[in-house]
Amino acid sequence: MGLLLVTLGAALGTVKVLAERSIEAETASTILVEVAALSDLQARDGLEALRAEIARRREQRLGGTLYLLFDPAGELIESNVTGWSEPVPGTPLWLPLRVTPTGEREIRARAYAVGLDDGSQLIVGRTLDAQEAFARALNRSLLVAFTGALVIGLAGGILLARRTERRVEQMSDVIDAVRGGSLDARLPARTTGGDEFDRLSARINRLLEESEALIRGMRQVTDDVAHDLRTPLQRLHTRLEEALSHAEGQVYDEIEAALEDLDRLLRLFRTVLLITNTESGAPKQSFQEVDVAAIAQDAAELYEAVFEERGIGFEHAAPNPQHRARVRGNAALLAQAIANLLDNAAKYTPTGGSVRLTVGVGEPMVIEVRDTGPGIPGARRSEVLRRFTRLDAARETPGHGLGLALVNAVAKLHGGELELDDAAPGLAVRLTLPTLAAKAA
Amino acid sequence: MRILIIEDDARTAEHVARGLSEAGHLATRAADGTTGLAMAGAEEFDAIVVDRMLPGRDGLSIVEILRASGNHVPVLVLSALADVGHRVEGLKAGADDYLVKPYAFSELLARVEALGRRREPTATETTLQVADLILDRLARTCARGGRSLSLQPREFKLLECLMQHAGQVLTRTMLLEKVWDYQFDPHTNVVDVHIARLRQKVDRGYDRPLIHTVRGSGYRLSLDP
Repeated sequence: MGLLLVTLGAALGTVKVLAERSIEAETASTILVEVAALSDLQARDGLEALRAEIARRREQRLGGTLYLLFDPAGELIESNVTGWSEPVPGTPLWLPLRVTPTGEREIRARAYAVGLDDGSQLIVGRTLDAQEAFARALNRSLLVAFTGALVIGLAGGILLARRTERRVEQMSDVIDAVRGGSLDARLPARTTGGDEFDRLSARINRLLEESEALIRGMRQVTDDVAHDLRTPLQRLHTRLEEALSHAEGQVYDEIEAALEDLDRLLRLFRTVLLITNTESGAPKQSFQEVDVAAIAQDAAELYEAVFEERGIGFEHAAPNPQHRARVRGNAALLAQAIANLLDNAAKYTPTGGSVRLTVGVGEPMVIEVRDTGPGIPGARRSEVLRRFTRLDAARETPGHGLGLALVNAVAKLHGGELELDDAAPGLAVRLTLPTLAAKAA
Repeated sequence: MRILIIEDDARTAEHVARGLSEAGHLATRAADGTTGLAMAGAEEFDAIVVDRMLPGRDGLSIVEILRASGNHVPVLVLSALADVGHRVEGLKAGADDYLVKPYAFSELLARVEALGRRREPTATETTLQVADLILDRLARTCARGGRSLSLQPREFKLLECLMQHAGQVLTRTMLLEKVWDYQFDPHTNVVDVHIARLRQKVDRGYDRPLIHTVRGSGYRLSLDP
């Protein structure tokens, strides 16, 4: 805005100065041409001829040009200016004048005084009223131009800013939509006659195109792997089951143990596929408004008996039912995530310990499971969030260490976070989820 | 029960058919969707087991066509797709149950048998009775041998589920699904713990236990061990 004013002012100021200078130069050259012509006349035909010429011009009342002619004695012998009777010393020189050519109004003028070869002095001037009128007109037009340019500039600037804002908003919306699972969302990008936004949009679209291909490819691979591996695994399972029904003694025990191993492998396989599927964002397509407090309540009810059986104290700090604990999400995955956290707590907390489930309704919503088990050393906390990690100390306990990786994937799917903390002693696992209110804002 | 198996993998289909026969059922096989649909429409079955991905016509469209034509035969969909959304899709299409591959045959058998019973009137009865155990679904009360049992709401639901399927095996995952509405594999013995609690109330102090553990499968409620 300031810059616009300065630029505009400077441009118009330059126009004004240049215009005035050129008018001044024009005036000066007119005077000099006139002086030269009159000097020549005097030199050729004498002072009297010059006087007659000036008298003739005075009679013609040609406005704008002023003449004063002094004889060698310094007497004013001809003039069309009133109120001036002395020659000026130090000719030739330029002098500013204030004259009243018609006896009405004093106006500014500019004049050139020269001494002629016979000792007489000629002063030729031009009144500056036309020049000043022009300057005033110029000023007015410049003011109009300035105001106009300012208005147009401001309006244009605002429009441009609005347009930029709209385009940027459009981009954010599309990017949010893609993150939200609509992989095919694209930005409008004109291919001809586009501006830098169109070029940027086109690049972003290419990027989205590539990520869509990657994500779809990953899903396809996951589905293919699922299908290709499931059928042979299915056959293996069926055969072992069949063999078990005909087996006896040690063979029976061996086959039964093999089936148990296979079941563990299948469970691992299912969980990996579920994590992959969750990470791909596909479940976002079936997002609904879900009540996390109710989900946590169900999980608490399911696990309360497990804690009691294992001699672990369990406390569930439910939020005030008046508070809305709603998020946009997948109820089955959120239920599984919370159940996984309780399952882990039950698995790792020794008898006599305690587990506390807290659902904090705020922004974001926080679901915390705090136990008094061995905890996880700080350096290894990020490790357990990845697939296939299980800490050595826990290796004797059933489980695949995929529980937290799945919870992490569920948290990410819902735009939330999973944090592991030292509960001194024990582990505090915090699942934070943005609420519906935050998403609407 | 007369059961139709629509499955393109011959080996799996054969094992499933043999297993069902051994369990006392009459199993018929179809190797592709088109044949399967034709058979399902032409004959009367007590249950249909259909693979979701089939040559010819996919499993879900078979269910949709059957339902659209007013055929309410219980259907169990088998699928290699584990996405949480796929299960919902399957149930929406009109399937009664959904089992993800690879599964244990005992799980499949338990689910098929549970489906077959669904047509019997027990599902809508207001009172369920097994031996001297009586459950009033309207009053939400339960008594054994004339003595009232005090059950928590979830214990009531668990016992109701077992009684609805009296004499049948219910696996742990089936109980998790039906009673708690969970589809996941817990690493702890969460279902066993709840059954143990229920046993304390239902069987403790009575001569004949009604809740039985079926090795390698799950639980069954019946008078016979």
